[in-house]
Amino acid sequence: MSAKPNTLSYTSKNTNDFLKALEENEVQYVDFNFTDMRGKWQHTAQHVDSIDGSMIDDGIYFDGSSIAGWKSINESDMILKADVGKWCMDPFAAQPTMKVFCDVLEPSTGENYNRDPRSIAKAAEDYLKKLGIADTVYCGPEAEFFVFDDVRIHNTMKQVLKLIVQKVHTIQAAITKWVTWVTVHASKAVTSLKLRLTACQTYARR
Amino acid sequence: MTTVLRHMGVEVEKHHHEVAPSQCELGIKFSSMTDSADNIQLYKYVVHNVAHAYGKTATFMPKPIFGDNGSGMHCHMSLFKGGKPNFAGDEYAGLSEQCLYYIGGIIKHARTLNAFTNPSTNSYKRLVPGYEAPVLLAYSQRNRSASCRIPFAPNEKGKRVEIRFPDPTANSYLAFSAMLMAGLDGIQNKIHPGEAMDMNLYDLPEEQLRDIPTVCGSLRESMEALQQDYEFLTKGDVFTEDMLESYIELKMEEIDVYETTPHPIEYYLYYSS
Repeated sequence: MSAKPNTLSYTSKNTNDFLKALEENEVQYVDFNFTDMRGKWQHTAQHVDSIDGSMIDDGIYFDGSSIAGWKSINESDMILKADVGKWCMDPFAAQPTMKVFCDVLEPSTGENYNRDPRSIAKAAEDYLKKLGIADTVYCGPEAEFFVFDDVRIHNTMKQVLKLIVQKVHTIQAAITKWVTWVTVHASKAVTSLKLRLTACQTYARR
Repeated sequence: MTTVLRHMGVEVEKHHHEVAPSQCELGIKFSSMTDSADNIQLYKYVVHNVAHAYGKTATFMPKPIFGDNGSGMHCHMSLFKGGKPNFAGDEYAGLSEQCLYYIGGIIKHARTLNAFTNPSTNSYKRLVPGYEAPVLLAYSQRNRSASCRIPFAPNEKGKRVEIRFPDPTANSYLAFSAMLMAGLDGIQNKIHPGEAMDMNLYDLPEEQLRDIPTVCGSLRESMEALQQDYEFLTKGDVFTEDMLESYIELKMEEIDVYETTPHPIEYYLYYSS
């Protein structure tokens, strides 16, 4: 948690503002983020020394053939165009790193790529405005998730494994666990005592 | 997690436990559509990384544990024009006619929407009756068993529709866009959603249940629905046929590997039979 953002809005009006924000936050790396069709966040990081205004205005080239469902290898060049209106500092990065959201552009036309999910969302918002029905659509998503202590997964031809570890947290469950422990250990003690007795009896009979 | 999200510029309102053990939800503030989808990417990034920082692991899988509640991603949506709420009016639950048509569009195209809002094979293990997940395509005020719920709102600006079938494996950019397009199709074609269903839908007798349409039963079904009903998505070139074909191809790969892999439960059922 090393990053200390000086700017509270995390948005820049234009390229100059954005370059200023890089200085103010003592940014070392700029992480260009985009989303593939499966919803996975993809990124490519660029050292701050290599970044200038034209790189932000024109975008950076990347290999689109490594993204599932996008370009084939023979037409793989694509452009990542930073959206200076949406960035933030990455608190998990070892070096001061700024994440900036990007749109994906088609290099041959300079238009938004038709398989880029973020470009599709922007196009949908533009379409809404064009229809004149409304000018803004608000979304409030509520994503639920599970947190586990550990998960092991294994999938091969001859072995399939799914192991979920959830530690006990409630008092009642803790008591149940303790009682189980005592019962198990008590029964173990009884068993071992019986074994010893049997052993003694066997020995005595000799 | 909420602290880190705030630090990254996402407005967080609350965090709470969910129904199942180990299940959580953080409430982030609503925003305009693309910005909200951006925030979901940050949300997932933060949840995964903070869990790791504490030596734990987080999952957005819709149904990680059999027999317990699954994880959804309910989506609240509303339209505004010139700062005024389009969804407030004099119809059912204080909604406008336009909002009812929006719901009508969502319900009409729900099975196609599933391809984006519930895009994993695991999604359909959550969408079964009995675990608070909405299976029936109906709408209601307050009723959590309906796929579209109208939450109580203290003022007109809060009037919105909560779409309850999406789950967090969704690509939020695509899911939100597809839902918007379905809603707009409903508005343009004045698709009325019929009467509201205010009873607990799970308690309905079977004859009545049969008349209510349902969400898809599998990822394969949703892909078939998408192949048949997609024109509402390609309006205004928002989605393109090229994109949809490539998306279906990508998802069919997942369906194929899932459907052809022998499952441990099959050994339990059939090994000695």
